Amino acid sequence: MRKMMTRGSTSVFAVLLAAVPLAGCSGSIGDPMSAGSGGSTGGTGTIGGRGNVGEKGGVPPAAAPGGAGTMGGGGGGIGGGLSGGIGVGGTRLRLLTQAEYRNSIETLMGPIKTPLKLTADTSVAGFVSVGASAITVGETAAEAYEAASRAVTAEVFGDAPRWSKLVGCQPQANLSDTCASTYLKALGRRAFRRALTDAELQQWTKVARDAATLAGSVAQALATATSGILQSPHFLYRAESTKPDTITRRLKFDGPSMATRLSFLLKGTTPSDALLDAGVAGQLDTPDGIRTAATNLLADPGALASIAGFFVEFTEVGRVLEVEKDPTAFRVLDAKLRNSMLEETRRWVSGVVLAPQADVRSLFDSPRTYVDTGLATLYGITPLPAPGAGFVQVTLPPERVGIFGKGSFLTVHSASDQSSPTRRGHFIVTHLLCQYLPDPPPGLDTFVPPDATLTTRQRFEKHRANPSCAACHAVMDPPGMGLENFDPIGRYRDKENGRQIDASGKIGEASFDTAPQMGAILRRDARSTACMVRNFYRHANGRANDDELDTTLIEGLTTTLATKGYVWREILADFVVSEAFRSAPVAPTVAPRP
Amino acid sequence: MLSKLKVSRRFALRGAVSGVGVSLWLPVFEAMCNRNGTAFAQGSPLPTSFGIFFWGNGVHRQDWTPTATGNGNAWQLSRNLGSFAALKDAMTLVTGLNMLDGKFKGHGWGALYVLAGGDGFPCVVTSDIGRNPIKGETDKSTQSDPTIDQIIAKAIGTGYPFASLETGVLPYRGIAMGTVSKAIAHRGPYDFTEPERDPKALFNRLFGAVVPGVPMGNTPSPTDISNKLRRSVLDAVIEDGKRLRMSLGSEDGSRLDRHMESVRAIEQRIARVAPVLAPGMSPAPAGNCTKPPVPTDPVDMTQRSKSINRMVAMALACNLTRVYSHLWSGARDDNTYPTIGINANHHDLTHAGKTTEHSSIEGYIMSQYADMAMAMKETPMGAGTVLDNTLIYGISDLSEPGGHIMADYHIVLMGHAGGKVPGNRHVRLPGRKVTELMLTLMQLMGLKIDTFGTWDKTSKTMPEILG
Repeated sequence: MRKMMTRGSTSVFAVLLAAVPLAGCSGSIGDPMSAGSGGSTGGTGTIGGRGNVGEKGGVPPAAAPGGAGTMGGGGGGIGGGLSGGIGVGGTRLRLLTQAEYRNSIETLMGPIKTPLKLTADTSVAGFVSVGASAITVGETAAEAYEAASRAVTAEVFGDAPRWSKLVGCQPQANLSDTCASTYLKALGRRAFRRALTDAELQQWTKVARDAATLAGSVAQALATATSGILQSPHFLYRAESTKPDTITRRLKFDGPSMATRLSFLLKGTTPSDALLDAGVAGQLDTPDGIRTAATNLLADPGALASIAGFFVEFTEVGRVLEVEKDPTAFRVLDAKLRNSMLEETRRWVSGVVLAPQADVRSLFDSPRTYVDTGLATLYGITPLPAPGAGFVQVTLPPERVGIFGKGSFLTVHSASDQSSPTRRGHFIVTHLLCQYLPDPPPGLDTFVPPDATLTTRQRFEKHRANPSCAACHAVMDPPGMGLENFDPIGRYRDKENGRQIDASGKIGEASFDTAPQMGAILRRDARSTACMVRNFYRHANGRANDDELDTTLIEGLTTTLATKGYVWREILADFVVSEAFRSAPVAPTVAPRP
Repeated sequence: MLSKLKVSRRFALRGAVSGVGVSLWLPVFEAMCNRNGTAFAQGSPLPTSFGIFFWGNGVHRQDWTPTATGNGNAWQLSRNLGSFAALKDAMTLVTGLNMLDGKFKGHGWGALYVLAGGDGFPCVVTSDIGRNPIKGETDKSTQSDPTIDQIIAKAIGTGYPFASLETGVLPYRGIAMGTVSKAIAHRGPYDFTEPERDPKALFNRLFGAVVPGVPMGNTPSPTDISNKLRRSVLDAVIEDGKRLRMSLGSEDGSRLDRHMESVRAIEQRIARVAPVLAPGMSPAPAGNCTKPPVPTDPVDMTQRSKSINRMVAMALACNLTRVYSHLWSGARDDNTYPTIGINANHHDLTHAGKTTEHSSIEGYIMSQYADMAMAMKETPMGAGTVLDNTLIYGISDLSEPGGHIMADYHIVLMGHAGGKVPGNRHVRLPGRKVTELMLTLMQLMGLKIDTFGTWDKTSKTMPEILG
C-alpha cells in the first residue's frame, strides 16, 4: 500500500518511517479514531473506493451527442463489462483552469481587454489540473462564468469591424440566412473541440434568432448566442472520450480528445481547427501521428510558456505574488519586485532550463538568470541593467544557483519574518525528491523561541537537541540549512545577528557546505528527476493517484529522460506518444478517495 | 392583493433607480403580522435563519475564557470578546468542548470537524494523518461530508433566491489546503461554494445590477430584454448540460448536476421567481427590507467587512436567504493585519510565541464578528430584529493554536434563534464534543435528525444552551 512512498527511498527514510511513530516529539501518537468511519478503506494510496467502473457503464451510443464521431464510444467491454466514454475510469471531466479558460477565450475571440473575474483555481496534490478534475461549479463560480462570457461578448460585439471580421459574413437583420449558423458552427466546433450536433447547432441558432427578434440588433443577437456557447459545459469542461483497449487494458483517448489533450498540455489552449481535423481523421491514433502533431505544437512560440508553467507550479513560485511578508522588515518587497521575481523565474525556466539541448537538471544548479534593475539590486549584481532595459541575461554570483538562488523560490519557501530551514528543507525533501515525511505528531508545539544573539541555524539546532523532535528534523532541516545564506526575501547574507552563517547541511547521507554544492547533489540524485517526471505526469493527466502501470510508465520515462541527456523537450514527445498520455487506467483514480 | 400591488410598485421604483431589475423577494405585508410583529397573525413564527462565522487559527485562551460561567451578570466578557459589550445579551459562549481526544490533528482537520462533524480527505482515521504518500495532509484536503450550513440549507433554504449565501473577507493565501481553507460551504468532496469577498460584487449579486461589464451595443438595452436574453442563454446552457449528462458516469454526472443547478439558480433569480416556501415556512415581514447603499471601493479589511456585514443582515431582512456563512479567514490563515499594525502573518505568529500579537488579531476578528451581529441587531424584523431571529455559530478550526490544541474550543453563538436561545450565558462543558453542539444547532433550525458526526458521532444534544 505504501509502495509509492518508499520506492527509491534511502535507508534513512525507511528507518525514519519506522522510527517516527514510536518516537514522535510528544511520544503520544495513538489512534483515537479506531472506531472511525470505516478504517478498511485506508488512506490515500488506495485506489478504487467509491464507484465501480464496471457498473458505471459507458456511453449509450444512442444518447451520445455524437457529431463527426467525436464523442460517444461505448465500444466492447473489457472483462467485467468495462466500457469507455466520458468521465469513466481514470478520466474525469476537466474544468478549464483559469489560464486555460482565458487562453481559449482569446484563441476563439482574439485578445480581450476587459478584465475577467473568475473564481480561483483549486490546487489539489500540488496542481490545479488535478483540482480541475475534481471540483464542482457552485453558484458563485457559475455566476462568474456568466459574467465573464458576457463581458467578453460585450467587448467583441460592441465593436462592429471586430465582430464582422470574427463572424466573417454580414447576416440579415433577422438572421434568417445562413450567416449566423455558419459562424456558430465554426465557433462551436472550436469551442467544444468537436463538431456541433445538429441539435446543438439548431439550438444556438435559435437563441441567436430569438435574440435578434427581441433586441433588434444583429450584434446583440450574435453576442447572446456566443456568450451561451462560452458558458456551455461543453466549452467549460474538457470532456475527453475513451474507448477500451483490449491489449493494454486501459481506456484509450479517441482522436479529437487527443487533439484537445495535446493542445492544452503543450500550448495551454483549445486545439486549432487543423489539429481537430487531424484527430477526426485518425491521425492521432498512431504514435507517429501524435509525434508529428506534438512537434508542430512545440514549435509554436506559445508552447514554451505552457511547458514552463509546469515548473512554476511544481516549485510553487507563483505564490510569490501573494505570500505575506512583514512589510516593515521587507519594505523593498513591493508588488513590482514580486512580479519581477516571478517573471525572472518564468524567463529563466523558458530560456535556460528548457533551452534547446539544455539539461533540465539545471533547475538545481544553473548559474544564469534574467534580472531587471530591482532584482539586480536585490542580488547584488553590478553594473545594474540600464534603466528601461527590462530583463537582461546575467551570470549570477557563485553563491546563487538554480531555483535555490531565485528570489521567488526563497521568498515563497520561508516564513513571513524568518528564513525557516524547516520549511525550506521540508519542501526539498517532500516536493523535489518526492520523499515522505510524517506530519508533526499530536500535541506538538512547533514554537522555536526567538533569540537575537543566535543565528537561525543555532536556534533550530537547539530545538533539534530534543531527541524526540530530531527524528524528523534531522531529515528535513539539513537541506534547508543549505539556504541559510538567503533571507526571507532571497537577499544574500553571510552574517545573522552578528554571527557568521554556516550553510552546511546534508541530503540523505550526502553532505554539502554551500547552496551550490547542495544543488549539485540534487542534480546527481536520481530521485530528483524521477520526482520531476512523476509530478509532470500528474500535472499532465490531472490525476494524482498513480496506479501500478502509471508508476511503471513514470519509471520508464525517467529512464528515457536520462538516456536523452536530460533534455526535457525530448521527453515531451515520448511522453505524449506513450500510454501515459494516450490512455487512462480503468479504475477511478482522479483524486484521492478515503 | 393589496400587498402585491404595493410590492410591485416598490420593485418598479427600485428598478428604475438602479437601472436594472432588482429582485427582492416579496416581503410579507405587515398587516399579516400579529400586533407585536413577532409572528404571523395565524401564529406561525418568524423565519429563523442560521449562519456561520468562521475564522482561522483559533483562540489564545488566556484572553478568551471568562472567569465565571452562568447567566446574565454572573459572567463577564473576556478581553477578546470585549467588542460584544453591547451585544452580550445575545451571546451564548460555549467553552471546553473537544474534537476527538483533543490532541493535535492539524488545521485542516479542525475545519473538517467543526464544520461537518469530521471526515475528509485524504485520510479516514486520524492515525493516517500525515501518512499521505504524496504530499502531506494539507493540499488534498476537502470536506468529505456536507457542512452543517449546507445540511440546514437543504432543509430550510429551498425556495429562497439563495439557498445559502457565502461571504468572506480575507482571501486564503497560505500553503495549499485544498478546498477547506478557501470555502466553508461544502455539499461533499470538492463540491464547495467560494465565498464572495468583494462588497461591490456582493451588492450586485444581492441587490443590484447583475449585468457585468459594459452595456451591449451603443445604447444600453432595456433591462427586461437583457434579462430575457440571459434567460434564453441559460436555458440553452442547461439543455447542453442535459445532453452531456447522458454520456457521463455517476461521479461526473453529479458534478455536472451541481453545475447545472447553479445555472438554474441564476436563471430563477433573473426570472424573479417568487419563493416557493415549504409548509410552515414563512417569509420575513415587510418594511424592514431596504436596499443598502452601493458600496464604495473599500480601502481596508475593516471597511470591507462592515460593508459585507450590513448586506448579509439586509439579505435576511429581505428574504433573500435563510442560511449564510461568513469566512473571515481560512483554517491556517496566513494574512497580515496592517489595519491594526500587525505586519507578520497570523499563522506564523501563533507559532512564534508572539501571543500578544496573535491574540490582538483574534480580538480584532471578534470586533468584526460583533459588527456583523450589531448590523443584525440594527436591522428590524417584525417587532424585533434580525439578530433575534437568527443564530450564528462562531467557530475556529482549533482552540489554542500554538500547540495546535483541539481541546477546549471557544464557540461564540450569537442571536436568539427566534426566542429559543436566551443568550447572555457562558456554559463551560469540558470534554463534551463539538458535534453535540452542532446536532443541537441543526435541531434548533427544525431539522429532524437525532445523530450527527462521522468523527465523534453522537446522539447527545446540548440543552445547556437552551431555555
